Amino acid sequence: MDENTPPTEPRPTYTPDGHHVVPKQVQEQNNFSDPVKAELNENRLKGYDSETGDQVNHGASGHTEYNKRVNKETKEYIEEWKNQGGADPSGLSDQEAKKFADGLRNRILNSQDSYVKGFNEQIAAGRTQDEIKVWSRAMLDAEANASKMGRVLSAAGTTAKWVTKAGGKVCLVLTVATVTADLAQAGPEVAAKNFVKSVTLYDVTVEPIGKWTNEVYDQAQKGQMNNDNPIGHAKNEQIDSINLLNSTLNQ
Amino acid sequence: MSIQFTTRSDLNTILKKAYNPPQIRNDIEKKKFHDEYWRCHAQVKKALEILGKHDDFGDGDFAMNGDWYLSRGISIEITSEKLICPELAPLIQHCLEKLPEKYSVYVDHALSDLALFFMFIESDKIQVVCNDSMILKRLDLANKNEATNADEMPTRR
Repeated sequence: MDENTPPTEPRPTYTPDGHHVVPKQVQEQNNFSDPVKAELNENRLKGYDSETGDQVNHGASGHTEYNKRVNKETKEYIEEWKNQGGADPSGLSDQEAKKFADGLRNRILNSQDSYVKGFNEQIAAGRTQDEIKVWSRAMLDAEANASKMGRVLSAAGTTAKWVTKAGGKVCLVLTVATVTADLAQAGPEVAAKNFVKSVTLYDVTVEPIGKWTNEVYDQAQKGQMNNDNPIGHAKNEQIDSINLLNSTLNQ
Repeated sequence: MSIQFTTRSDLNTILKKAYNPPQIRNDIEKKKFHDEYWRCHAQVKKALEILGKHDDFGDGDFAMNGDWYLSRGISIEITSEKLICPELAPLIQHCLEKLPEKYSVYVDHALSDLALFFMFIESDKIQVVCNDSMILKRLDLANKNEATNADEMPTRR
């Protein structure tokens, strides 16, 4: 060994301590070879308390959700690896094992899944199990609410458009095709509420924004919406829609 | 069984520290502790399997920590209503009494329809953060507190 080369610590014969970015359970379930496991176990995240400098045990809090999502990403990664001509990770050794493990670990650390990315950030920041649990609950709640909005957006040809009004007020305008019964009988607010409830089963608050709302509503009723209108319908388009203005998903 | 209702703030102070940490001077001692830790972990798991099924991916009744630190703290995440039962805390305490060293078990849950609660269990004491009386009743912890001090618990969505 060259005298300038730092001595390398031998790998322990047991799974080392700290948070495994690719959990051991995921490694087992996907039949990784021992060299792949050793590479993945080489680098762990450890969080330290900012005041005391003590290492903080992250425990099981929120970990099942993390395991589930990382497992899904791992399977996608394996599929891509194989599509690029890579061998099955159960048989990888040496440089191939390192290449596979490094790629997977980087993918998880830079995951597009905000729960996965956020979970690792929580651990690196030295959050306690209680803090991670509260964070985890908030993340899952936020996702559930986003998916409620997603169900609205994907329903019945809905289109959404952010509109900035005078005074800087920003509105989310949802245009929903084919909902006419409530519109004719009760106006856009009730139609909006009923529509969102029919899609999400949740009650929402719809706040009209005054004169502009009424103008748009009148235009919609008369089929006169045009390209100058913030909603952006083509001129003289036959409007069979309601416009949900400034609607907010609530519970 | 001594039960103390505490605050999240106080609980976090406890959780930031290693619990009854081992004295490690070299890799042999670290390996020795590794083996001790996972033996104890397995004993707690075996005890809990009396109540329900373990699954690391949330498809069972509970999951346990898969990583370890230089701390004698074990962690459980409940993943089904089955383990919200009166037997849970006494069973864990009974198991802790039999371990060769002093260990703690931290418990929370991943059930979205249930208010959050946290338990820090030692062989002779349980510290609880919970402000939902129904959950306390189901865990048989209601009316057993030595001091009530419910604080800023996050609310259900």
